[in-house]
Amino acid sequence: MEGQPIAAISPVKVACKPADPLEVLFDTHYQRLYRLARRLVPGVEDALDLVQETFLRAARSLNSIPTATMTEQEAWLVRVLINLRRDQWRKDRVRLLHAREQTGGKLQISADPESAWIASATVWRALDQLDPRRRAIVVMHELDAISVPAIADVLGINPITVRWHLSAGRRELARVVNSFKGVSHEKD
Amino acid sequence: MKKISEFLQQADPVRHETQIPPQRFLELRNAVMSEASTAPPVAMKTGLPLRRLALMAAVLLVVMIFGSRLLPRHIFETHATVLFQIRLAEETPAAGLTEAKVDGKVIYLHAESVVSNDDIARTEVIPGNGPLVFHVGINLTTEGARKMRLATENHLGKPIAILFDGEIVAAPVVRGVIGDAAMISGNFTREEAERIAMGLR
Repeated sequence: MEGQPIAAISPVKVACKPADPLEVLFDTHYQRLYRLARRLVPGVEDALDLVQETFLRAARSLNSIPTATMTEQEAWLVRVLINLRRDQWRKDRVRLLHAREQTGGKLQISADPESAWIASATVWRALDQLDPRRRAIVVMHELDAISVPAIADVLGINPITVRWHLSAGRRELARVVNSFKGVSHEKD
Repeated sequence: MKKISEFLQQADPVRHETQIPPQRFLELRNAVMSEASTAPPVAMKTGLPLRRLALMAAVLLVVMIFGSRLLPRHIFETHATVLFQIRLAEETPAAGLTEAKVDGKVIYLHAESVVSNDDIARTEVIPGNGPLVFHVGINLTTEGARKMRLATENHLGKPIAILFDGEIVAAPVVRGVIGDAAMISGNFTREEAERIAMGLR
């Protein structure tokens, strides 16, 4: 018996179903996509719908999704999500403008200058006026602290364009902020 | 005094809403999988029907020829003016200079701007190498060009900062004396370059 191994460990191949690429894609990226979606749309259900639509779009073009790195995959999905949201936003905007014309009124913001929360909520609502791509850039930078070059990589655009969108987005939000007392729109 | 980022953080639904129960995501996952498996892969649209395409071309042609005359001018002027500045910068700190970061590099900005919006005579979109690459060309007024020439001839090899609304968008190093024309090259798409060119006027 001596000289013979008592036991040997060898890799055992477990016969299992190969992982569905779409399932892997979903499990890897859904949380990040949901967070982004939630920051781009008004409600939870809208956000879930947007994520679902993004993965369905991915399902239809699985072959064109980059497989080399997770970052590339995520960038692909983020771009699809933002483009889907842009389409929705454009349609909603037309409807909204039409509704406003019908009521003959401007969008009134119920502003209580004392309330910081209302100020924040109003600034957040002002995001609805931004083009979804600009909005995505603002939230990625301000809330996820993603650097300008990294956002440029994800969206496949130039860093200067990202800065341009950030600057324009801040300017548009600052207009809302300035309507509140004791508030400045300092840039960081 | 609060910053915009603070307002956004305070109102950020991701931070304040109750977490979505995992069950909801499981349902979402199942919905995606079942819909993806039942729906046949849809070929991406490769073209538009010929009739629609012809109609679009006709409308485009009419708008191109008569657009500016048919529609009120303000419709074309939807771009807000952007505060444009070119400021000299140094690579080492000194009194009176402001530290700023661009592309991970720290530079030190001079307080006064060399040229600003008033010094721009006209802007244009310049096609770059390749069909999707565009730059923004800036032509300065005589006075603007004079200021730019004076400032850059003593600043060779050092950075200058191009700012939109007080934020640095690019900080190239001065390679030669800059006179009446400058180009912001940044591999823009045509749309982006047009937006910047219009905003600068």
